[in-house]
Amino acid sequence: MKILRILTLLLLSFSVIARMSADELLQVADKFRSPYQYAQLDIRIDDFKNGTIKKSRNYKVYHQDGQSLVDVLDGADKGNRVLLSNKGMYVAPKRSSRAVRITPIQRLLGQASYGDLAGLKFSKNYTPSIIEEKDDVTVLELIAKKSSATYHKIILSITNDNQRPVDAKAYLVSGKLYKQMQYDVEGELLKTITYKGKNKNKKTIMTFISVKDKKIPKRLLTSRGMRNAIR
Amino acid sequence: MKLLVLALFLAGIANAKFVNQVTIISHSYKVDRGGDWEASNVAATLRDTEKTNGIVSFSGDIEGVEYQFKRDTETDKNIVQKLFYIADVNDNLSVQFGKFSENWQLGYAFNPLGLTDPYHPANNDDDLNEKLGINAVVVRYSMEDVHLDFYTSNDNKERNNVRGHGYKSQAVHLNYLLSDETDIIMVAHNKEEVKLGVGAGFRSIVNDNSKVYGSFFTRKGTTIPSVPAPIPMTAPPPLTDRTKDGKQYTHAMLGWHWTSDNNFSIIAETSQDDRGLSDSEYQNMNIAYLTLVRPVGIRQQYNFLRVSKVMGEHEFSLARRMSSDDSALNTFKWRYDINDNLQLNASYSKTTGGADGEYKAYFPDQSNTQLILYYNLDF
Repeated sequence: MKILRILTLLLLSFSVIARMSADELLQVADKFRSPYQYAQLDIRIDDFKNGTIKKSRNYKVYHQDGQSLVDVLDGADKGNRVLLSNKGMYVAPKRSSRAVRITPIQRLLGQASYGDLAGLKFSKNYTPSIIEEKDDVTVLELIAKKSSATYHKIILSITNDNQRPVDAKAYLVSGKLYKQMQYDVEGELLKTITYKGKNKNKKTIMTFISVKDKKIPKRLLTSRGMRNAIR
Repeated sequence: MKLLVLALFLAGIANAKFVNQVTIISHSYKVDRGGDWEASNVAATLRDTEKTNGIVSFSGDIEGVEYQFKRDTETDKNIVQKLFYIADVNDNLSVQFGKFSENWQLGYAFNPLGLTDPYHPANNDDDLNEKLGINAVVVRYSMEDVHLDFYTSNDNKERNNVRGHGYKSQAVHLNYLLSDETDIIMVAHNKEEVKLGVGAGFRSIVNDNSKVYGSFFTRKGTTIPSVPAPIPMTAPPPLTDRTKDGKQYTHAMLGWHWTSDNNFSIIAETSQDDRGLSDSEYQNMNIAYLTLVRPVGIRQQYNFLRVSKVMGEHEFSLARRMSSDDSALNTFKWRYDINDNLQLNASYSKTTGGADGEYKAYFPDQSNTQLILYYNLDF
């Protein structure tokens, strides 16, 4: 009787998991990027060529309500700010009072685009559907909800046991494969994302150094407020 | 030497974390001057033919009070570029007060909605003429797709009706997200001496590489005077007050910006400004009316073209601002990011066109060679 009860419970739990919708699967996968509703992330991007680091940059990303404000911490662009808001993506150079609107797919460093750094949560900008279920992974097709999303389509693989992201392929509107991503998770959080384009000798690694709970004023998430002091 | 000592002193202050950035600028220029502009009575009104000057700027925030101070060795002045505080009332409402530059600019070269920054530079490629802050209070309210600003200012300057100094003003600025690609701006601006003016603008992303934008502003009357019918040269030159003439003055601009995937960029803009001089008024201009020479030009119609290419640490650009009389200001610029802290800017500007053309006759200082070295210390 006891064994029967345990078996019944196990069957029920598997069926609950099996019934998770594509949206729910994607939201769980997004939590590996940041568990907080309002988050401050320290991120480093290393650009590799033939296995050697050519350039590295550090960033501070403030993410909330599906929007992100990025502070460039070093390099010639130190002091620049990047904003991914509901109204679009902007770059504000440090010596300019004017923010310039850009598209998220524009290159930031190496194989990483501005949208890769600022657009943390897929569930905000993409509509998922399950296209394949294998023994250990589920494959989701993510279609951009808006033209302001970084990519038109992403094919994302997540593990069945805890919805941890494994790898992804990003496609343009033309259907062309633009880049591939590989995810490395440590514990409950993403450790690195590796971006690769057509050139096999080049890759870019985004490392998540730390994440903490932090809320910033909403006025900073506008093209005019993005240059103000963050406190 | 003085600049070095000052910079070291500031670096010491920076260690107290009150300072986020110190910038030291060394600026050299040589003006290409010839013809009538060499005459002593004229030359005396213009700046030196050759000069090297330094600017030290430091900026930061102290408990949320943001500031930027500058010292310019050419003018021997200390300048408060900005000094303000933003108080957050709640998640959607904030109040900003102090001295700051409120930028409503949509385009690159022309700015019909630039009502709040009368010190705007003639040329956005002119790195040294940063917009100076003015005393103002702005109440900002944000909603999902709408941002609303209520603005009031008093720059406490001596009145200069051509440059726009010395006027109290109030304005409402609304930014509405029409779609993912397009936002709309609407403005109402009240200024001393003239009627309430209204304006609107738009900015639209066409595709991944290009965007279009435009704006206009219209008002009855203008603080910028005009010139009377031809008279012999007298001093001081009489000017025609247009604040109460009941005429509608409109300034409009349309632009297009394209950027390739490999960082090649083109900006093209056209502008029509009723406040400028008509052809017949321009014919009446003579050297006595130099006070009418505004930063962007004195006529009504202008076109602007800029092409640029970024190659690693280098950016090359060529800009051309064209007047309706076919004279033009052409600027070639090279920017080199030497390292993370040091940047070199070199530019060569040349005015072209006939001797009576606007850029030849009235903008002699714009034909020049400049070298600017920036050293940034970030903390």
